[in-house]
Amino acid sequence: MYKHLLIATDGSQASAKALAQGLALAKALAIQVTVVTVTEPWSHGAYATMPTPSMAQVYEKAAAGNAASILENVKRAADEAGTACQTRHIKDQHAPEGIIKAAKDAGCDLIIVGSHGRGTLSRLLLGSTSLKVLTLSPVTVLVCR
Amino acid sequence: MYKHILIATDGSELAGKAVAAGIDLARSLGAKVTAVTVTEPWTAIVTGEAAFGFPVEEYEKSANETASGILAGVSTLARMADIGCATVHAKDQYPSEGILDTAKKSGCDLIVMASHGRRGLGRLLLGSEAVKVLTHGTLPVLICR
Repeated sequence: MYKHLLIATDGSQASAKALAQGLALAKALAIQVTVVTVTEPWSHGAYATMPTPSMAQVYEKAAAGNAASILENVKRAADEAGTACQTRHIKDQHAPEGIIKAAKDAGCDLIIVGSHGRGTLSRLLLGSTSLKVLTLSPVTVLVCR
Repeated sequence: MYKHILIATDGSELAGKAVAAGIDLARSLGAKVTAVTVTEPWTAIVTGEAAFGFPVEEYEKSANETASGILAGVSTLARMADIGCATVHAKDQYPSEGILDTAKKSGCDLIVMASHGRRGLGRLLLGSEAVKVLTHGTLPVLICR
C-alpha cells in the first residue's frame, strides 16, 4: 500500500479539499504525510533582463511569507485532523515541477492535488497545474474536487 | 474515509495496476468495491462495410464475453484479498460516461482508474477517458500509472 503521501496546496479553497481528504486518508492508512506549497520564480521571459533586484527581494520576502502562512494553516488543519505532517516550501519553481520535485525528494508514492487552484477558469475544467502534475508524475495521483 | 471505491478497467495491463491499487486501498480502508468495465456501442466500433461482416448481435455477444472475462478477473482478485466486490458491465456507452454513470448509481465516493487504457499514445500523455472522468465528474479520482 502507499507509504508516504504528498499533498500539494496553494492555500486556495479548492485545494483545501485535497488537504482535508489527504489528511484523512493518511490517518486512515496510518502513513507519513508531507505537504508542499510552491512559489514561482520572480523573473522569467522578457522581464528577466529588467534591472529589478530590489523588486526581486520584495517578491522573495512576500513569497516566503505567503508560503509560511499557508503551511501554518496546514499544520493547524493537520493538528485538528490528528495527523502528523511535514511541510515544505519549494521556491522559484513552477507549481507542477515543484510538486513533482517535492515528491521525488521525499520519496512519496502518492500525490494528492485539487482539481484546480487559485487560477480557476471554471469549475468544470481541470486546472493546468493538476493536469501537468498528472502527465509528469511518475507515481499515482489522486485528484480531489 | 472512502467507503465505496469504483474501480474502472478495460482489461489492459495498465488497468491491471489500477485494479490492484484499488483492491489494496479498499482492503486498507475497509471499503466496498464495485468494478466496472464499459463496452462501446456497436456503431462506434464498426463502421462502413465492416458492419456487414460483423452484425450487431455478434458484436454484443463478443462484448458481453469480453466484459464478463474482465470482471471475473477482478472478482477473483477481490476474493483473494477478502473484500466484497460488485461488478458492473456498462454497455453501449463511451468509457468515461459509463464509469461516471456507474459511480453515481452505485453511490461510490472514489474512482480508481489507470492514466490511460488500451489506446494510450504514450506514457507521457494522459488518456482521454481519464481526463473526461476528471472533468465531467465531481468525485475524487485516483489515477494510477
